Amino acid sequence: MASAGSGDEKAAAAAMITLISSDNEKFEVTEATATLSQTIRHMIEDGCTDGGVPLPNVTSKILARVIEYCKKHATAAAGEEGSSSSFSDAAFLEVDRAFLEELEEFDDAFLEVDRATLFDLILAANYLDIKGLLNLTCQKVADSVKGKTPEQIREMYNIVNDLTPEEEAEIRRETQWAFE
Amino acid sequence: MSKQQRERQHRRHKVQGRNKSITSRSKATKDGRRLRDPLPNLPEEIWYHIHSLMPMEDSARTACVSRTFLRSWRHHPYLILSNRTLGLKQNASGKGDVWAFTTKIDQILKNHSAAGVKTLELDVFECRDLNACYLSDWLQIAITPKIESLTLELPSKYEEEYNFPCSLLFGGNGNLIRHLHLTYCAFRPKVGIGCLRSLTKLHLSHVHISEEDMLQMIDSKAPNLSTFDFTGDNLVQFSLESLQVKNLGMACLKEINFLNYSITKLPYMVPNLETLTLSSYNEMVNTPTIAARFHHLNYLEIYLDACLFPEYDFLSLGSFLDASPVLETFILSRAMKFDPVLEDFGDASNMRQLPKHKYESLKDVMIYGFCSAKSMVELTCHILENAISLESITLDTVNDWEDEEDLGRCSVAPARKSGECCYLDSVSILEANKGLMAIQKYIAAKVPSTVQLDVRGPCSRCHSLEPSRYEVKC
Repeated sequence: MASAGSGDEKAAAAAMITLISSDNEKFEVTEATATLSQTIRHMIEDGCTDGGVPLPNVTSKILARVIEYCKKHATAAAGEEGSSSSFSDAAFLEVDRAFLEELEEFDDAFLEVDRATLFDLILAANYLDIKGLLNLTCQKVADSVKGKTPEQIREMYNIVNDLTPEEEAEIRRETQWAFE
Repeated sequence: MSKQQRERQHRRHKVQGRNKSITSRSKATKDGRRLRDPLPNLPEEIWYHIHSLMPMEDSARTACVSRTFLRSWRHHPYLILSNRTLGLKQNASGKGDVWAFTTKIDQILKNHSAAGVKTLELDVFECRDLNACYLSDWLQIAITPKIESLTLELPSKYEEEYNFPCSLLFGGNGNLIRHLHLTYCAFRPKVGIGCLRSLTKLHLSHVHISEEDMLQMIDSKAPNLSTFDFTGDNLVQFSLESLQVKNLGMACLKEINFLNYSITKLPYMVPNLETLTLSSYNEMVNTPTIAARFHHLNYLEIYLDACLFPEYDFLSLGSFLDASPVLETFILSRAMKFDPVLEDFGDASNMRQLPKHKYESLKDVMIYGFCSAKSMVELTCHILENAISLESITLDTVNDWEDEEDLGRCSVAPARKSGECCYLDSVSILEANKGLMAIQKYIAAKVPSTVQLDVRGPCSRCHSLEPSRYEVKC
């Protein structure tokens, strides 16, 4: 991925963005990394990133993780652009495949967090509008309910049952087919 | 404490509170104690999104967790309503309980009417007596400006009885639709499909279309249509001069000489094809050599049904290969006949050879229903001699229609359940064994060492010849 690396460096020389977490920690990132967030992309387009981008909804702990994700995936995006011109080149496809596998491993490892961090990441991905991260984290929650009873799900995610017993029974009748 | 001090403390408390929750979480995990996680609340829209990433059944199963979960289920954008997902139970008379099945569909769709679905797959093929009013109500709910994919499988009698409500889709609700798959209904798009600007895949299976309507439909091309699949009795003489169509599948059940038609017309009508699947049910002439080319075709699959004239020359299929300079995958599938081909053509010197053609891109070849007909052997040898980049060739003397995943016979494929192979009568088993002998005698020695040869024959479990039947037949 030599071409991707040099592309990254060029971008770095061109523009760095400062992100400021809710607890006032500053993070310097390249524009390529930052613009995985549509929210930040729009701010850059509107020219309101001078003096740093305050992110009052994201703690430094979560922001550090989000940036880790964006860095990795920004490199991936640059790699894809770089290799698309030589699409027929088998060697490039091989590199792409290896890189995609690496990316998948990264994503799996990235999701090894407790539920509270997972929810914080979801909220941050939603606020920053990072589609890939939102899907990744939400998919983890979606997969986790498989084979669980409603009571187990409430327990897992601290969900208050606000249905009356009658309503719950009615919904169960309506969705009985899904339990068979 | 002054007001200022109080405010400062309050602020610090707020900041600490946030940090504290994070540290207390990590402490809890370090200590290994099962403290209840102080989970933040997710907005309802995020729960909708999470549900949209679940299979439909999981979403429905969790609807009784809370009101948010109930609403999330009712916003689930992908609905697959079929016998498989909803279960068409057998009632006392042995028939599926259609009433219970359709009631479920009705309830689900009505509860989804507020949200608008993106994908609807509705398979009511087995509901023979389904009231068309229900169907119209359901489509009314499903076809909104949000619809992106619609798959409809109706009972077979609906082919002529039920008019797909084109006006629903064509009146502005079809702007996002990418995939339309209709089976057994009449399709009369009065205004043409050109207004379906996002449509990329169109599958019409046993859909009643008058020639006039078809012409109109295709003439007003959908600008992004890249995949067109058509299964029906007769070939509609559509002028599909569509440059953007890349994937074409056609099966015409009552058409005669469909391969002949396809090879002579398609290179001009759809010049940018990349994949092509043709099923011929009644081929009465050999496939002609043509001058035109499928310049971009990389995948070709040909199915020949049993109704093939006895002297059909399989070697003439070489014309398709000659016409496809960048072809990578060639699949020939032939229905096994009940009248066995038991040709013995002596030694290999009797074999015909076509003029040499280099098939530089051809990598994978599969022949299902390989038989010992001389022209089949000749076709195989022709491929082996000319496909200079060939990587693998599969010769299966059984055309096992039960083997959807192409695993091979159950006796050698651990992934298949025992006894799952298709039924073969003793004549077909003989034919398959004869095919194996032809491979041994004429083909095996011609396969270069760089090519992987996969030979499959009858199943030792499912296809053994019972001595008594064998004797009677021979």
